[in-house]
Parts: sequence; structure tokens; C-alpha cells
Amino acid sequence: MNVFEESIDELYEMAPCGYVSYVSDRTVVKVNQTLLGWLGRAAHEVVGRPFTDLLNTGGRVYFETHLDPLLALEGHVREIALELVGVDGSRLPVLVNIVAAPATPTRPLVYRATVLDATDRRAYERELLAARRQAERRGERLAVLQQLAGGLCAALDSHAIANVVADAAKATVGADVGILWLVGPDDALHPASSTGWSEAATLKPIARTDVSAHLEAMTDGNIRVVHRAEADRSYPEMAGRMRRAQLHSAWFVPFRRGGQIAGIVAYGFRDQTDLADDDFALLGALGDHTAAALERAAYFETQRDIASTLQHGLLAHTPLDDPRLTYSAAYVGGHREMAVGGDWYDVFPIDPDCVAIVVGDVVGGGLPAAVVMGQLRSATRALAQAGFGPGDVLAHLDTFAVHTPGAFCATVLVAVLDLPTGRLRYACAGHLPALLRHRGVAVYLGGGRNPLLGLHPAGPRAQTEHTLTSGDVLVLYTDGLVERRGEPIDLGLDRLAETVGGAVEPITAGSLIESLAPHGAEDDTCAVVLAYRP
Amino acid sequence: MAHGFGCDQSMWRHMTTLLSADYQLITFDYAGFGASDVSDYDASRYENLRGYADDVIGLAEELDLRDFVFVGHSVSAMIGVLAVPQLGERLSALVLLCPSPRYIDDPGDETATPEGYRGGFTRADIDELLESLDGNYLGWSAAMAPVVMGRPDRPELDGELTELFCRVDPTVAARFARATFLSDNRADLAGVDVATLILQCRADVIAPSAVGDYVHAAIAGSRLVTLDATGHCPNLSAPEATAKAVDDFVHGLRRATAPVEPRPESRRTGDER
Repeated sequence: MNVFEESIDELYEMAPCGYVSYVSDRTVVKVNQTLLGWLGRAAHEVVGRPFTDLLNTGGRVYFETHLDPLLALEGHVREIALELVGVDGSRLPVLVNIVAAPATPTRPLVYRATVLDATDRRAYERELLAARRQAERRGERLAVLQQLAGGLCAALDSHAIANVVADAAKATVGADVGILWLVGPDDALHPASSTGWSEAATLKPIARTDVSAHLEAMTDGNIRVVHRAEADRSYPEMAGRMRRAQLHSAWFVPFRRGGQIAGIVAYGFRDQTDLADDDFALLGALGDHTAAALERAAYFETQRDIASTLQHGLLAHTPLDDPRLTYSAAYVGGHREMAVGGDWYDVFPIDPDCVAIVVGDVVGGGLPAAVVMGQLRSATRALAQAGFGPGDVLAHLDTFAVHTPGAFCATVLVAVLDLPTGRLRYACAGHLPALLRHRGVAVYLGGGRNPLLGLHPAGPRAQTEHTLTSGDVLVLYTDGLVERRGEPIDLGLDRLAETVGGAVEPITAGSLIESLAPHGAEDDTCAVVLAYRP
Repeated sequence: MAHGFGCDQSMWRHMTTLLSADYQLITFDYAGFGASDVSDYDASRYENLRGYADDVIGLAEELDLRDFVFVGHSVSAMIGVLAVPQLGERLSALVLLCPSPRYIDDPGDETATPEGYRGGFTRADIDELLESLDGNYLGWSAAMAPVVMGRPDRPELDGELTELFCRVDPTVAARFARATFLSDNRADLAGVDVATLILQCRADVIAPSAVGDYVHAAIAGSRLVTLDATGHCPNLSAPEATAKAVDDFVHGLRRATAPVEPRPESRRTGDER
């Protein structure tokens, strides 16, 4: 074993760490070779000069504002990260421990620092911090996307979606302006919605033949970033708008639907903004969400259009133009999204002097009921126009109902009015009675009562006659007009009779529905109001 | 007594010892510093010094301070200057310890000297400082780890650090630094209409003596005292001289005003938050 005395001088000068000592006014009083070597300096350049000269600006400020006070309070500091500046200006990241050695009779207070080269550690720390920051940003972005997805789920049509996307511009990417452009049927780009910009209403559609940054983004499907300088050169009109909106840059994010570019979300920024890779990914994801939502909305709208078209088709009829009667008819769907149901009305001529009035109600609601309703309506028309009286029409409808799925137990009221004489024949299959106002008094026509369709009673269907006089008003309707939840139907019938009986001005079907079955009723409502003036 | 950039109310430790016999003293931590609850920190409020000035005003109103002397160290000196108009009658005097209304040089400002205003730093210097603070490694220290980690559920991690002084959350520090070092409150100095004492150190890189001279010239009737101390924190490095300067100043004020019924305090004690 070779035990020997280490030279103190060598231990100090050649230590694997740097040593430096300084006094209260920051003057360095001693420094070891190791540190000098790291700094590339000679002893006389460091000793006698301020310790803080070895630090970068940030370090100097930090020393005066943090380190020195901490040393004064605690007497030592540990593992402080600093940067030393070498003679060539290079930066050396270090970790420093400093301890204050109190003054003695032979020397003043001195601060003794140990300096460790922390280059590798700093690199590692940087990576850790960057990774943490990236994870935080990812977390933030995920939250943003979730919020947007929630907003899009709640948006039911493309208009609402466009608003959600534009409004989210600020929340998602911090944009000051957001505009959603959609490709229209004319293949041009149309502004759909915007946020943050007062001039938005002046935007015009962009045709494929125009020159614009929007189209360029659409051509290659990549996000396009345009700064004001480039806009000034290549897109003067857009540059003008950017200037007025005080925008520094504009980003155009195309999104696809079914493999084709369906539109662009345009973001405008007032301040300098740099795109990170994560931003691109986020924008792409936002575009995908938008596209998916629009897809869903388009499907929904198509469904609704189909339903609406169907309904209108099912209830379409050529208005009657005969001076001997005036009539109005109205249908209001229940408040469910599909505005189609099983109720119907029909008014049609049998011959030039004879008019049929029908109301009916198929079991159930929505599209299935509407499909059946259409068939029943057509069948009723055909039978009445073939010359069958109301009772016989019902009898034949029974057969029809038995063989037509969904028509079973439908209700219908068929009335035929002979215009020259005012003779009204009617038959009712389980339907609510028609209301007649004669000389200011409203009474229900209770005759011609029969069971629901499809029940095939024995014997002929009951039919009743009544003669109308000039000025009489006839009201046919479905139960939505008189039924209210939790109320016996008699109350509703009384209410209808009062309304019609007491009416001073001419009644219309629309106004009746408006006053008796206000918005929010769950059931469909149909009404026909007919005034006889021979 | 308001702490400046870099520490918390423990800065006043020595001064408190020296002055508490004759005065009632209030020290506090700004939001995000010292023992204050970092979760209360609202970044948008403190984007510039105005938010801090509002806090000082709020404190004065909540404690119903009257005839008090505001002692502001470093950037708190300017925070005090900003608060002067709204403090109104409550405030009887200002003590600005190592103040600087602007840290970045402004060659175009000839009101200071023909060469312009010397704040002591170039824009590049400040950018480097802010960048290093943003990078979160400057001063990253094991001693500050519990604050950084924010694990109140793991108290065993604090260990011997319960007596830690000058605790600062790095994010808060970075923002405070930005608000401080990018500030420009030269124009606000003229609005100071209370008796003012300016204390500066002989050799202070953060607030050089030329800056102290500038502040003295800008505040009418102010008094300037240069302490024989190095560095930016004479309240710690030369507490006796600092305390004496403050004491002399306040006594001078007392003599100048009409005699009132004796009151033992001109400042009240308390440790905020």
C-alpha cells in the first residue's frame, strides 16, 4: 500500500471541480487552475476582478437579486445553475455551491464557491423540460379538441357547425379571426361563418378561376401560411383586408370529406405566431373533426329534407277555386326533429258542384306513419272521386286498411258537400267530430260514427246528412288541436267550440292551430276551416 | 416594506430587527412569492407592474393604513411610485431603495444626459436574461425543487427546506422578471407628490448610480442618499446604514409636520398571506 501525503496545493489547483473565492464587493481573491482552464483565462485576468464578470448578463442579475440575498440570509447555497462566460465568449453551464466563511481577525468575510461542469446535465435538463412542455401542450391540445368535438356534437346543421368552428378559432389556436369556407355546389368557395371580424359580411365567394391563397391550400391539401408581406405581393385584395383587420398572418387549413377537399378554415393572427409541428397536427385534427361533423350534418339534413319533401308531397293538393266556398288548411308537425307524421287533410273536387273534405290520423308518428298516411290519403281520394259516398268510402278503406301495414286503426272523417244545395254527407271512422258554426253557434256534428278503420264491422258504414246554409263554417281537425296532456278531451272540445263560436273575424286553420295548439305541442295537428257561401 | 425581484419578505429580516423597536412594520409577499399561495397567482393580472401596484393599494385599503411610509426595494420602488396617485392621503412618504424606472438604455432620451438614458442594460442583455429565465434553468436548484414540484401531498420531500428563504416559483419569477425588466416608468416619476427618499448603492449593476440620480432629478423635493455598499440589496448587505438612513428621513418628516397627538407607529405590523 502506498499511503502518501497529497499536496494541498495540488488538491486545490487540480481539483476535478473549479474553486473560486470572492469577498463582499465581489472581488475574486483566489481561483484554481481547473476553473481557469475552463474559462481559458490566466489568473491575473480573474483575481482582483469582480466574480460577476465571469457570469453572463442573466447570471449577473440573478447573482445580485437572488444569490447574494440568499447567501446573506442563509450563509450557503447549493446546486445553483449558472452560466460562465469563457474568454472566447463561449458559455459553460455549471452548478455552483457557495458557502460564506465568516470574517476572522486575519481576513474579511469570504465566499467560497465550488463549480461543477454541468454541460451534460444541462442538456439532459433541457430535454426533460422540452419533453414536459410538449406533454403539457399535448394535454392542452387534447382538451381543446375535446371541447370542440363537444361543440360540434351539439351542432345539428351545417350552419351551426360553421359557427362552432369559427367561434372556436380563438380557443383552439389563439387566432383573432376565424372564417369557415365551404365548397358549394357550384364548386366555388363560399364563406359559411366567421368570428372576430366586422367586415366578414363583405366577403365574396371565390371561384376556382380566381387567384387566392385559399385555392392554393385546396389544390395541394396542405396548410398554407401567408404573412402580410407575401399578401401585399401576391394577393392585394386580401392584403387590404388583412391590413384593416390588423392581421399579421393568415393560415389556411383545408379539410377533406369523402376524399375531396370540402372547405377551408382560415385563421387570422394579429401577433407574430410560429407554427410548431404540434400546431400542424392540431389544425389537421380540427379540420378532420369539422369534415366529419359536416358529413353528419349533411346526412341529417338530407334525411330531414327527404322527410320534409315527402310530407309536402303527401299533403300537396291543388287549391280549389270556387266562389261558393272559401277554405284554409294547415298542418303543423310535432316538435320532434322529423316534421312528418300520420295526420293529414285533403280538399278536392269530385265534380264541378261537389267537394270532398277529409281529415285523418294514422297510428304512430314519424316517417312510417307518414308513408301509410300517403297511401290512405290517395286511396280515400280515389274512392271518393270514383263516386262512392262517405260511408262506402269507409267500407272500402276497411279492406285497404286490413291489407296495408300500419293503416290498421287509423281514424278518418270523410265529408262530401254538394255546393248548389249545401247538402253535406259525412261518415266518421273513430275520428273526432267535425264542428259546425251556424249563425254564431258552434255545435259538433255527432252523426255517422263508425269504428276505426280495419275493424270491418258487420253491416254498412253509418253515414249522416246535414244541410249547410250560407255563412256556415265547418271545421275538421285532428286530435292535436284539442288534446292536452293531463286534461280530459272534453275540455279541449269545449275550448274549440268556444273559439270558433265566439270568433268575430273570419277564422283560418293557421290561426286556430296557433291559438289552440301553441308551439311545443308534441302531437301533429291538422285543421281545415271551410266557409260556405253559395 | 415591499420586496423586489428575487426574493420575498425575508429580505427585510435585518431591517426589521433594527427598526421594530421604534416603528410598526408591515412586510408581505407578493402573489406567487414566498409563502403566498401560488395557485392564487393570476398571470394576466401581473403582466406589467400595474397589477402589483393595485395589490399594494388593496393592501393599504384593507388594513386601512393612514400616514404610512412605503419602502420599496428594487422594482417595488416603481410599484410604489405607480400606487402614489391612488394611495392619496394615506401615504405620507416614499422610500425608494435601489430604484430604476427603466432598465434598458434609451439613447434617444436626452432629458437624462446628452448621450441618452442609461438604464444599465441593452435590449439584448434583457432578452438573454428573460430567455434564460424562461428556459427555467437559471437558478434551478435542488433547494427550490419542492416549490417547483408543487407536491404538498408529499411533505417528506420538503425535509430540511422548511426554513427556506426566498422561495420563488420559476414561472412566477419569469413573469415578474418580464414585467420588471421591460418596464418603463420614467413618466410616472413626475406624478410623485409626497416626500421621497432615494437610497442607492455605490456599486449596483442593477440600478446604477446614474439611474438613482435620474430618479432624484425627476421627483421634485426628493432626497438622495448614497450608501457605501456594493450590490443591489443593501437591506441585507448593509442593513445598519440603510435602517439609519430611513430612520433619519422619517424623523425629518416628523419635525417638518405640525405636532399631532403622539402615535407610536407610522407603520403597522403584520405578515401578510
